[in-house]
Amino acid sequence: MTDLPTVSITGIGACTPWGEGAAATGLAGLLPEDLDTAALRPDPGGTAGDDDRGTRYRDRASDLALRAAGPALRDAGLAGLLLDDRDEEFAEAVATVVSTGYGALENVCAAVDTIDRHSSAALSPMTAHAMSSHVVGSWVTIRYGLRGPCLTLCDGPPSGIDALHWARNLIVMRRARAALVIGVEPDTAPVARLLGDAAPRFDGAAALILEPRDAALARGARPYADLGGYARRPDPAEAAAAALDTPADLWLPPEAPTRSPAPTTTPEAAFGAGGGEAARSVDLAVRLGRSAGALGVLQCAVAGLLIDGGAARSALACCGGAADEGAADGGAAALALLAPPGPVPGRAHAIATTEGREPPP
Amino acid sequence: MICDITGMGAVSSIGGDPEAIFGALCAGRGGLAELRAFDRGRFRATAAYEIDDRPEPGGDEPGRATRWLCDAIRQALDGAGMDHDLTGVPVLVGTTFREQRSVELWWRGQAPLAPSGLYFGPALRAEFGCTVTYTPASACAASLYGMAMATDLIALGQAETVVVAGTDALTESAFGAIDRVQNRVPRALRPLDRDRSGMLMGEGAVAVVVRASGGHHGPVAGRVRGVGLNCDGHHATRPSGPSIGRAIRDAHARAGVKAGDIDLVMLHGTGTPLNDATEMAALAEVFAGRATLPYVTAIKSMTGHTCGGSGLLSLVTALLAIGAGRIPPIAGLAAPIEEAAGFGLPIGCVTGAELRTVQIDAFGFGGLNAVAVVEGAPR
Repeated sequence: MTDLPTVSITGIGACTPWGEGAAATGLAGLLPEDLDTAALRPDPGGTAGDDDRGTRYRDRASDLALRAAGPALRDAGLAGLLLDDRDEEFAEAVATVVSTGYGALENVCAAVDTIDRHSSAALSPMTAHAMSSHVVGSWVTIRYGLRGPCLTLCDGPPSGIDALHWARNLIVMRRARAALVIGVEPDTAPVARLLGDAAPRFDGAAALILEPRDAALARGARPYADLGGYARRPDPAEAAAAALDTPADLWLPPEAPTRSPAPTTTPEAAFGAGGGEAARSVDLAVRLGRSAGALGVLQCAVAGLLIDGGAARSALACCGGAADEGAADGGAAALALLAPPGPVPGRAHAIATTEGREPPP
Repeated sequence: MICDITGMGAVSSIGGDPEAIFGALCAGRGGLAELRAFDRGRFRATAAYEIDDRPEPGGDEPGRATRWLCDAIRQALDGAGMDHDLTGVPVLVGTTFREQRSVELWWRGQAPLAPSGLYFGPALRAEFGCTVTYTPASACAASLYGMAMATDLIALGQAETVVVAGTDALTESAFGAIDRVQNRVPRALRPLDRDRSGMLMGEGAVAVVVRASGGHHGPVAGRVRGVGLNCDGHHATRPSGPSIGRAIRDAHARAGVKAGDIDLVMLHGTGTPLNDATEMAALAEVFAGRATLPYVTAIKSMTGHTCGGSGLLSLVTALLAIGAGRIPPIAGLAAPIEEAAGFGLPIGCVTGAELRTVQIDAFGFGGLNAVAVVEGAPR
């Protein structure tokens, strides 16, 4: 195929223990402490889509996802097309891609408890779809009437980055004009029992809007960053090297194995090519704790915001490769994010950094 | 992008490989039996289409969905003449429940579970050296979602060979939730029958090897012409006819076929009152204007609803049906619903059928729709 469009991030939302909302508001607390945040794109404000949280029958993962999705749609300037001034043709062309490893466990384990105590008659009739791993995507698409393809990915650590890859493929193959990408992991009772207390457990979500860059510019939206190379390889170092063959300004390393000693997430220790010589490492995994399928989306959200703010021209996000003790892992994924070409209005000045090399002019 | 299916594998309640399953389907032989591992006193429905492979009657074991998945993939690789090394080959596993049955057993203290046990990737790496596993958990449309993703990978030059699979084991949470929500208590899954009373779950796994047409010298079991995808964005469990119609038209457009080209539709056909009526009404609308309507059949009448893998199992059945010129019957169909009027309904196995192009429907909770169009191998 020829003339494949460049796909960009045009909206960012997040709901984490450190912040909730669009752009810098949602990612507050996850950004490097020395950043001059004045250069970061502000939250557009408003509450479109955020007004029905905590529905009685909805699980925590779905709630967290909705609390990230609303701000991301608002940030991209698309919430109106799906809600108040609904454009049905557009809604039919919005894909949803969710990455979650633990999303449905709360519902499944609660149902088993109910059946053990009583019988199936004691289950809520509203939960039939909630036993599927797809439950988050189900609630999100219903909330916004999103009618493009809806994909849920459940491969644990690499899934967050995979989600952006598949969203881009859906767009490039003309299955969608835009995609809402969500990474979510809830800290529920089954997750606590499964993961234990060896490391903090993440509880939150990030959401991104992906669109063809040209289409975004044509409607007056400003891309945060373009999606670059993507690779899936047996381990993080190989994936990073395959995704970007030049050093990145920002390196977002994968989660380290929690049950093994001496995690090696520094680029110098573990990675060549794209990751190894990166100017600066922003290790979200250390901050978030065990974040499985959410990490990759959070990494790309932070990278997009920093690239847009002028702190970097390129970033390399990498997830996966962290196995349980004695078990195989499912491989690793890496994705490069690049500053859109040319001068971008509104990017007034670079963000000061206290380490690494200066951002290129 | 037209892609070849070069190898096929499947496991279900009615057979341990595609040919055995197809033979049972053509013979009208289903896998319905009393619930084997759950406490039948906790549910209104007491039957399912289970695979009878548990080591002890009345008990259950973890990891069955993964075991069948590996079995189906091995069969597909053998059929394609490939070795069992999937290093670098993408494997897409469509599933509704993943290993959630293992989670249920673990939650009750009946089996251990490590975090990596939630995912198929580690097991496929151990078994096949696979490091590029994707698990599209798009409910019961999942394996046809996987097929769309696979053909996209090939179309974009991101892969030359892809394994598409589906697998699901019965989970108590889903069986219970469906038991709770259905008005009547089904004793069998009877698609399109006026007296149908609902869906019953089945079990199984299925896998195929997908390659770019013309880009290999291996065997060809059939071809995928195109897959359409969408989502209702409307209701958690209630399907939308117009949305299903949109998915079908998308599939036809991507496949480069017209409604008049379809000889047979492998229905999603879950045997619930609303699903069957909605699916048939959508088909009637898409096929309006044809002099004769195509045949339709529904293998869930014999396999039960095998959930994430069900669409791909229908696809494998479609390719075998094209090759054999035989259409499996809709078991248990006595008095068809009004919405099925005019369609070819195989009450018994249809033989001598000239089938060129077949449509496969797969729909999931949350309003997920996937529709594939396949054709036979070139002669």
